[in-house]
Amino acid sequence: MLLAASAGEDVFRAILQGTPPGAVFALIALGFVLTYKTSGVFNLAFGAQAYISAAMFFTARVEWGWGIVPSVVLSVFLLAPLLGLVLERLIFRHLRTASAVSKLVVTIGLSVALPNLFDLVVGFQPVAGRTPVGIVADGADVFYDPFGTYAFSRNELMSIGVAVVGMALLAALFRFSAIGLAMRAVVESPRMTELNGIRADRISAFAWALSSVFAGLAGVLIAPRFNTLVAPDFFNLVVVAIAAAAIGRLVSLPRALAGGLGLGIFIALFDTFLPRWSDDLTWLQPFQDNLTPSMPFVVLFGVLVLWPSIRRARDAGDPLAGVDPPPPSLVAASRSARLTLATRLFGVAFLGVAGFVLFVRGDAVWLFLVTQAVVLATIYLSITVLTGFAGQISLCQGSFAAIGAFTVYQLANRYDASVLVATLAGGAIAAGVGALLSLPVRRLGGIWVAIATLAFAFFFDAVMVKFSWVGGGTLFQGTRVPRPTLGPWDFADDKAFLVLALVVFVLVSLAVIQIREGTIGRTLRALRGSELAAESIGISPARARLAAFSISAFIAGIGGGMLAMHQENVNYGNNFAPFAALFWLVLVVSLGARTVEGAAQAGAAFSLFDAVILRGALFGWILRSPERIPGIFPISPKWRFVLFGLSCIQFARHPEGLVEHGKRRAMLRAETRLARKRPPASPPDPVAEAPVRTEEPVG
Amino acid sequence: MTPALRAIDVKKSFSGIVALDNVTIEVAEGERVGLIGPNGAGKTTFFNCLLGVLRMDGGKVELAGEDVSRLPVHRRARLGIGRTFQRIELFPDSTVREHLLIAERTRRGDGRLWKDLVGLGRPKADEIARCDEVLELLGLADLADEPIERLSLGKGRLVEVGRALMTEPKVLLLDEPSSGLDRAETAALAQTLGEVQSQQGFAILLVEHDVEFVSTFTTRAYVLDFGRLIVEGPTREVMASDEVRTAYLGDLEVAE
Repeated sequence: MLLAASAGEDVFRAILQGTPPGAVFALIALGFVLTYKTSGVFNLAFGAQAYISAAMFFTARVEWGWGIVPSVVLSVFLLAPLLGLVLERLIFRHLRTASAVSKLVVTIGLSVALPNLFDLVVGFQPVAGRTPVGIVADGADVFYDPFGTYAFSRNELMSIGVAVVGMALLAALFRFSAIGLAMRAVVESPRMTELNGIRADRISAFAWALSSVFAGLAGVLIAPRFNTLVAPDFFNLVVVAIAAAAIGRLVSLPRALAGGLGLGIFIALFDTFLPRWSDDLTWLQPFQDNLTPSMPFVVLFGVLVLWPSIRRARDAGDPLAGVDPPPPSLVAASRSARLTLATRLFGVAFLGVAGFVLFVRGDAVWLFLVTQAVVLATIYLSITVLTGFAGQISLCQGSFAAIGAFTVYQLANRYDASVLVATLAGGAIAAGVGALLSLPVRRLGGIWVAIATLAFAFFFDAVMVKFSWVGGGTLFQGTRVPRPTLGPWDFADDKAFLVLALVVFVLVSLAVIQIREGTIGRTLRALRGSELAAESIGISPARARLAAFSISAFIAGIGGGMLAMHQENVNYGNNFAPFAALFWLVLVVSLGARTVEGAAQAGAAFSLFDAVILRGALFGWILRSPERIPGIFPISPKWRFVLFGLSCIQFARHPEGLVEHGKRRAMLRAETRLARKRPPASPPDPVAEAPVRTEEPVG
Repeated sequence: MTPALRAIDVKKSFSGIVALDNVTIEVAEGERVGLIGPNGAGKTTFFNCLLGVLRMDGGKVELAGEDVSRLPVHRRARLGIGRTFQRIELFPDSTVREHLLIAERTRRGDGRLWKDLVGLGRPKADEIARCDEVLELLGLADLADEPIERLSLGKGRLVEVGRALMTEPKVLLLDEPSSGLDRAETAALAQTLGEVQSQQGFAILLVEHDVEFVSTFTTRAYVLDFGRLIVEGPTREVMASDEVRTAYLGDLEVAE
């Protein structure tokens, strides 16, 4: 009897405890579904929008000393809708007919760019330990519910109140207002709505503004739960939102609401009733401690993999899929043989000059940066294979690389194994994990792969890394990794290690080029072009994806091991955390995901852009004196994120990447100019003209 | 003789609405069969059941006597069901020849990672020769190195046919091949298809709106209406039958 009563009380307490976060989750899920339904954009930048409002509120309230009401009005009711409108008007309106995956990539770019842009414009600097404030005074004060089982803080009560009011207003809007009705119509079919004389883009702009308000509200409400106001925490929120929204199959607003609330309560219940295995089995301790916070990721992954309706609804990724024509084909989508030759010559010359400067005059800092660029370029080749060739967006490349790095650490630390052998082992283990991961997502296409890999990345981050046999390092030394030796060579010397890194990069590049030109590359290209057609000639999408995932994970694992050796430490948080790895994808995609050259440029951009461009070293070299660098330098390194994040937007139009696109256009112009100069007496022979061939190998 | 393709009592319903009601058809080796019916008759649903894109609620699909009812799309393709698409499905960023090359490589099924790595994965001379043979047959030889984006819709459909032919199909399923083409283009397509078919001897199942195309091209036809087969027989007789006239023109009579 006593036991039953206490169990009942536990349930009750868990429900009360789960309601406040559940209410906020529901708000996020609603906002997320709103834009997804009306404009077909799977908005991963939702977390960034929430962050901006939260940071604006914090700045106004704490830095500028404004009152609560003006701060809320500014951050939630002015800035947030404005941001939503700007995003819709400047970006997403023009991407109407783009594929769901392109839109997703654009939002990934935005979620990297927007928080940094905000920080730069407002001059916001997150300070560790300065806890964000809520929207009520004395937010931490507690109240008991009538039965005295759970102590609500004022912040929590406020969350529930705001969420209830927000949802009621939304429901009323949908039910009683003209624009609500129009919105429901747009959701059903934008084209039909436009035929009836309603401007679908206006409705979608309104939906963006509204969704942005929801993001802002959620951001401001949830901020007090974090220790410090930083963007990655808010990025986690979007995963929670997707989990809640996925329960409603991403299209049902009431179900998204229920999903959010249910998720909050489920997590609390889970936390309360989780069996305490760890009393007997100490090795399960990290699992025990970290499972609860990572529940949303587990739920999301489970929903995607197990929920049959989502799995079967293949084109659920894009509600407009049946309505819109396919995206227009790209002009100059192919590459001429001359351009390939020019690229190769340029590449060799560039490497030669860089190598010469480095070995003859380079100092330690430059040596470090260039080596880092080469190692990162190796990792980025894994994105080339998966995103460039196979057209799959994976957001867990950081986890694959981390598996490689941790394997090197563990094998070297515990078994004193050779680090080079350990690197290969790391690649192999990563490949195995990649293959396993590809099994559940093999039948999902398009954006669902991105979401499932994102869930995996967060799960790996929150749970797996905490295990002593994965990421467990010692307290003072962290996860130290030694430099390798091979026969007479000792790579402890930085210059020798750069040579090793270059050799690995060249080997992996050659392998990637061979794969691109071989059966696997051509199979993946066919699958990327049209899954239906590829299947109709006997290509198994599941097998091809398995190959792509394992090859990509292998490369990432090797690169991760190299990165750990280079830094002589795994440095998981800085190098491989999900949000850090998001920037990798942004870089590779915006510079060129389909070529080895693009990966190399992305590596250089990651580690050299800051030092060369933003700190003004380039100007110093041009002016031949470091003293005469203009006063505007150094520019904040955050511009790196803003620039590359925003350049991701062009992915929808030019999936081959910015640099590649620019080069092709320049080459085309040069060729037409040459053709014009030729004497008109000899008409251009169609055979003698440079034959147009696609996807030439690039060195 | 076992038929190239046989569907027995295929059933399919969508949330209670019966789309296919015990449809049975048979396509003999080397035969040209038409499948016609008014809009919403269930042609596309039936087509997708044959290919494995949709799972049937009941019934059986046999390919050269082998039960393929439970196999996924790509396995059926390997066993000999080729197809073209109503809304054209080609691979962007590829040339015409590359479309055929990948189909040929998939048919051979000898691609391996290690072969790719040592450079054996590139197109081989005999593969290219075989592709060029088919391109010649379809009159696409001049366009072999053209990027697919520069082709007209009619040529694009021929590329689809060529790609399907590389898999050495026992039966080729053509999904509304005349859609988007004008009369002359349709006639040219029908002629090329006819020549290639009589040369290679595969069977054809043609799903088509264009009644004229079906009557000149096929020898036998099935008529589907409201998910049921209403007539079958030699195309000439089928076209003249009262049932077809009612199914197609019934609404018109009411309107008069």
